[in-house]
Amino acid sequence: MSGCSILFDAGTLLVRGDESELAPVREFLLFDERVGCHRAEACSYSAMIRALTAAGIPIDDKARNYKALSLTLHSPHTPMSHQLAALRAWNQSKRRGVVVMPTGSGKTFFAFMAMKAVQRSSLIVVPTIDLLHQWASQLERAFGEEIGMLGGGSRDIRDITVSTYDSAVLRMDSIGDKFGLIVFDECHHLPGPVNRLAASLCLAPYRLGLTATPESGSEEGAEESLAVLKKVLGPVVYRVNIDELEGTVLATYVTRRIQVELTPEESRAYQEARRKYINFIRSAGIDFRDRNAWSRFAALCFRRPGGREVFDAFLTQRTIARCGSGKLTVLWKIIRENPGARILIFTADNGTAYRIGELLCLPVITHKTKAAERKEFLDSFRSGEYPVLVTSKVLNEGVDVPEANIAIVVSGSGSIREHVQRLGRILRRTAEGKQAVLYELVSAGTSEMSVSERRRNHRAYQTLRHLPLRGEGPASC
Amino acid sequence: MLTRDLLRVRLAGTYIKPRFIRTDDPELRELADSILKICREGIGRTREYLENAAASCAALHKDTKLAKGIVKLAFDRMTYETTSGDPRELRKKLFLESARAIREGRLPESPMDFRGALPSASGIPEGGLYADLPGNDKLLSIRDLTARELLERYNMSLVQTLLLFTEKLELEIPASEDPQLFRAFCSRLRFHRLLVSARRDGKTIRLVIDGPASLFENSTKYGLQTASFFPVVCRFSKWKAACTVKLKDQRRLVLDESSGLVCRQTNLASYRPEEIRMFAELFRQENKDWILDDEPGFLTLEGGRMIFPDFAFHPVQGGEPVFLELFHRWHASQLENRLAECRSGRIRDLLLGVDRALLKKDGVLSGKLSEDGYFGTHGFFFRDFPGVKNVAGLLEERKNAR
Repeated sequence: MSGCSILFDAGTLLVRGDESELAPVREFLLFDERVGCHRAEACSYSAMIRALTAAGIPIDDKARNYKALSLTLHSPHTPMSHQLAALRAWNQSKRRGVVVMPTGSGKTFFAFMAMKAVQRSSLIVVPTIDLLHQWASQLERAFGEEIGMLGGGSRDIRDITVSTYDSAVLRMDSIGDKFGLIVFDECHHLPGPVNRLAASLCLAPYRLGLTATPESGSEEGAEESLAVLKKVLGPVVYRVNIDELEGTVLATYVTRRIQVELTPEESRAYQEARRKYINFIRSAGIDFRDRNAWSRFAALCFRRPGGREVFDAFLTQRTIARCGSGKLTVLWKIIRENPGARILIFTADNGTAYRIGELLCLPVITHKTKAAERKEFLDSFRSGEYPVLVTSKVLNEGVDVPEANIAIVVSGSGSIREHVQRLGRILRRTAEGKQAVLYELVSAGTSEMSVSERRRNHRAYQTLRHLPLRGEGPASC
Repeated sequence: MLTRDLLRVRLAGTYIKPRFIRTDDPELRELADSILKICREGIGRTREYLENAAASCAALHKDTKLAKGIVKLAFDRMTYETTSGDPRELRKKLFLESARAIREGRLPESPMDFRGALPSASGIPEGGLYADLPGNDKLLSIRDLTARELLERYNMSLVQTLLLFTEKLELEIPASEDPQLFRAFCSRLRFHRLLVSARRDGKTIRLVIDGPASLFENSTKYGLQTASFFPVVCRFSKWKAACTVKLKDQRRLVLDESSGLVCRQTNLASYRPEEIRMFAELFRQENKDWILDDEPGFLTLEGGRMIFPDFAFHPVQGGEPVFLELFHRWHASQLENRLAECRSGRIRDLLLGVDRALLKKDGVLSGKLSEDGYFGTHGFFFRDFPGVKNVAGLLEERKNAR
């Protein structure tokens, strides 16, 4: 045999050649007895091609199935200095790596710059259906090409295709040879054991990860996640933080935490339910730092006598803390005092979102909202027809609502990433310039106090001009 | 299948054992019947109502997790229709009114008074603003089954759910099993895009089933495919299956035919693609020198590796059969491997039929095949289904060559 042949096979590479020809790529190969030849991970493709080329081994490359394109970028934007610096860094890293930029600083436009530089069939992988549609329409405008979509009922593959993470994982073993560039938006979703297959089953030699939060302080597994990103996408090649772009690229902002008192009835009900719940977890020896603690708690609730009452008590104390009547009053006050504002209201759960939506007659977007209505709500919010939008978690990331200038976190988890992403929703600078305000409502004397402390452990919340914790006061800033 | 929280297993040393139920247990039959009754009588009822009713029924049972599992399997067979009324227009009207009031600052002191101040709100009952949420969908139909079948499915689902958390499945099947079942087995493997390493060890065939990328990453990516594939194994009269389940820790799951698992998938063994059936029919009509066997079982190669040809042709006058294996558009890598094996002399008298669609996908392959000595004497191309004359011609050449 003269040379080395490489074939894409179900998300992997089948590699044939004499022992001497395979020597330069030995580190990537495993012999697969099932098919009687060597196999390599698809993501090793470019490293193998480089190694074989350097060694002067002829390559019969039947794996690569992507095209060279002639993309022209039609956009009124000119690249900003941080975007140019990021592109330089990414190019220098053989066009593989992760770029860290805050929300609103032009990550999408930066991806367009990378696509224009590479000029190959490209796949953009995004975490939600909303982002799928948003990217597809922006790509169509930017490059004047029809855009393929995978996910949300679409199965259309084109030279430029946008896919959800779920669809990419499911389909990558059949489409992993069709793209020269793969871009992972919000790439902090990639390191999970399933999602990472979307990167490892694809042979694209050029790889770009985009995120505002590749790691989040001391959150569990941050180091391991970065190692996975490095393996399948490349290292972090460029990073710029919110406070470095504030006032220039991003809007100026303040964050305001408002402590809300429970009513005496709510306080009593909260204390009683909380006591019942805490006594139970203590007696059962449940430690919520343990990864399996929640399932153990739920299992015990349905096994032990009286467990169901404990579970109800758990739900009661959580509901009161997340959205007691005091929070509704403060929420209403902020809406009343900011008649011209564009307000996003975030909750920790769908139940609270719908409760607020029903009471205040506001549009609510959750994962249950049908696609057409979701689009209608977002379009109406962007145009100003609807000044207030309520959501649980689906708008935490990515979706572009540049006009929003006030975010009200009625409730949330302890996740730093979630809290930073929610702040990011209101930071996109508008032509008129804006002052963004993030209000965080915290029920006084409840477990929400410590949850709030945990999620604020990020430099975006730690500069002195952000207002310290205080009781209810004038809501406008 | 079940969800992870509904798994019922027993841990014994390093083993994990599904807690199978007795499908003839009168108490469980009664539970399954009550759940099915809720479903059957629930046509037209809302999802939320049915879920609450089934949850109450499950809560009465001494083993809540078991009851919830049975509920889940029954509910998986339901089809819902979205609510007939479309409150979207009403919602839109109300949202526009509330938006105008907010923009203009015409807001009462208390949030509780806001809704009442909007004219359109009176047309929407309290809690009715989002009446089209999934909980309000109505049950349209159920793919019905008997209580016994539901309990059998529960046992199978216990195993399938565990298989979601495995990287590979090891099997032992006697070589003497019905070839038709082997064919169904192979067809399901291909359907689920799984790979198999098979070795014949005396009277037993040992198989390891996983996927292409399993070689690199200890991933449960193929768990769902393996779980979906598994029921066909239970069609064999004798079998052993083993795998490592990765849940909180790693434990071995070992099963055999004595577990009483029942495969309810129908027509597995009898399914033949239409083009294959047509070819067999035409060949039998037009050729009387060879007896066509369209369930030829498998061939064992040196080292115990196995291949599963599509047809065997037995000479009427007696003698060794000639086999035919067909390669379709998704079989490029298998074709290259098979050619290598044939060239090395490890396989004799195997004809290779190649779908022209495969050549379109791989332009270089056409040239390679025309230069390949083995393919020149044993191979042919076809479009959609193999030509009888082509095959008959090659069979005659093989007979003369002998």
